[in-house]
Amino acid sequence: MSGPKYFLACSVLVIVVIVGFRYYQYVIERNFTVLANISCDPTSEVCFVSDCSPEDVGCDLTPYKKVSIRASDAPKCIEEHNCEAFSCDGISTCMITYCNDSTIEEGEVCADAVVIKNDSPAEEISSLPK
Amino acid sequence: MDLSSLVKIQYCYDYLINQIPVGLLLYSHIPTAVAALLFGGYVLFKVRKLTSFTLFAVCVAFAAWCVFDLGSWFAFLGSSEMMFMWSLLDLVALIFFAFSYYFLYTFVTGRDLPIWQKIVGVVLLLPTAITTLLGMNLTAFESNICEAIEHTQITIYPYFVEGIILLGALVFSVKEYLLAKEPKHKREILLASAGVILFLGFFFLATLGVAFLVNYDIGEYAYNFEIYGLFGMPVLLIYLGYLIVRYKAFDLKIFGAQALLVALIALIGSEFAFVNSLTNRILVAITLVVTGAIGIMLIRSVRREIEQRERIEKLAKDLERANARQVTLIHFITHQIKGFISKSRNIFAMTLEGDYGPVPDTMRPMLEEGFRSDTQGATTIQEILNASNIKSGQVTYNMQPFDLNALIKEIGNTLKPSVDAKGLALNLHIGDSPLTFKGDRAQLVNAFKNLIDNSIKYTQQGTVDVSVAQTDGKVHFEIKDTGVGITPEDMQHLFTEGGHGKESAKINVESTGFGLYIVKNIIEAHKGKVWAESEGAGKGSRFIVELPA
Repeated sequence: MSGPKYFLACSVLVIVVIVGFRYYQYVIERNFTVLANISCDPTSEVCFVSDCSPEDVGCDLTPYKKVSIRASDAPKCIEEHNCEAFSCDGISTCMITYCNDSTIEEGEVCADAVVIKNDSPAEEISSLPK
Repeated sequence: MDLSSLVKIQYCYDYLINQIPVGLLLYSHIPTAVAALLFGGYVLFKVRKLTSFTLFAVCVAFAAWCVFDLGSWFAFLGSSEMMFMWSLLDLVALIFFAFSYYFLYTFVTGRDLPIWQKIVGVVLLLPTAITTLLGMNLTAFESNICEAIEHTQITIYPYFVEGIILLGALVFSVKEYLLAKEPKHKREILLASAGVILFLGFFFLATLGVAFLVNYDIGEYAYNFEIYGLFGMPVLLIYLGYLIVRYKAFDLKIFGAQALLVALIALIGSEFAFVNSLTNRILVAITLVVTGAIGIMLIRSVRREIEQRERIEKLAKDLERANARQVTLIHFITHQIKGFISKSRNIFAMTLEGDYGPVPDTMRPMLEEGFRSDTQGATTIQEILNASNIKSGQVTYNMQPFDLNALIKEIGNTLKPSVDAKGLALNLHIGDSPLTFKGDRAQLVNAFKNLIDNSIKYTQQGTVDVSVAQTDGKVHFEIKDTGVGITPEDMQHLFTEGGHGKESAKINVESTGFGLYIVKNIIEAHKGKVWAESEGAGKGSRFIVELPA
């Protein structure tokens, strides 16, 4: 029984190390990326919008932009989807994605009424260093 | 259950309740996990063997998977907690797959897993362990749908390993089943294998199906189907429970009673989750305490009964062995005594026939009595030996066609001297034409002679009528006498082993009580039946035999 005991003990030890390390990284450090759609102003930004008809059930035509941010840097409103005016300014792990041919995905289109009020380009304004 | 106080992300809570009923998630995960933990813990607590350890490991890993999976649904508890639990799902699933195979191997063979199989297992699990440790299996938390984004290439690998382990368990089970010789062991292998394979199969198919749906973006809420994979664990527990109760697997003796008590307590205890008022809670608490107390008494009582039953079973086995030894000894002794008596009988016979010279008249009555006594002794011993042989199944019947009428006439002639000596009339009502019957002639001579001889012995005066006829495809033999008859009480003991009647024992003191028992066995060996009829003491009796023609 000593052979199996060592085997079981080693297995338990390895599992504890893995679980402990994951817990540390995800729960203590909150070291993971959060993706969220946040409100977008189509008059000043190139926003995404769902490719659906207003008559469809569950069709939400609110324009949005995509944000990718490290969880530890993300304000609570990101996950709650209720940020009024979120900006990546000063957050090195933050990146906002606007709509263009390379970022658009199936089921979404770029909002039509885009009026560029200033010179800000309708593209990624910050990269996400990891 | 009110979860609103635990909600950290309201958006994810609202999203979840639109996707799937929270109650369904809770009741599909928690009772299954608790049942697995209780079962595995109980077996380990009772029996400290490698099989119990491996089963416990399966149960713990599965319960952990249930908790982690529930956590991965409950993103509203916090994205970091959800990511932590989701990241461990694949590894934990592989762990209980591996330990399920380990358990099956140790249960079936009774040995530890060979070292090469352990190495193969570790090598197979290593990539998932490393990617989990490094957090490579999840790429992000997608807060729009409150789910983790999995790395497709990395998370597909565990399905291959699960498939390999499942296939390995299947191949191992078939091989061991075919190699097993004892039917009991075969059934144990079949039950344990079926339990493990169904458990793993359910899980594998459900999670693989979900992965397929998610990968190809089929269905809005593909993860909802995942809960069906959990049904495999109750199936495994049922199979193992049956193994424990029916085949005494793990040497658990009062598992049934204890499982019943635990189930009752779990059911009553779960009511705490629903009742709100203080009165109801007090009532549930009282019910719980009373049920627990009665349950403990029940378990103690069952344990005592089991111990008594085991003692009785042991005594019965000891008795059976002692009986068998005694029968062999008696058989040996009677055989030897029969030899001595036969020698003595032959000496009397030869002396009476004048082989050793003329016998004085004064000595003749003594020699005749000795001859008669030895003849009776040899007959008695032969009867006991016949009964013993019949009982132990050592008699073989040589079925040949012969004339039954001729046989009865022959018996009548043999017994005529004793009929004449008692002044009785023996009437044979037998047809002139032969009545061909297929049976063992020697054994039937024994049976019919026994019946006719019985009637002569128990008839002091009057007649003994014997008739044989063939009607409706049956041979009908009947012997009717004007003898002592049979009381209803004695009737119950007829045809039983050593079955003397009270009245008959007074008349025939030399009776062994085996005569009619032998008759019954011989007639039944010929697919016939024999029975007796009498209106009571002093009113004569009838013995009837029916044989298929």
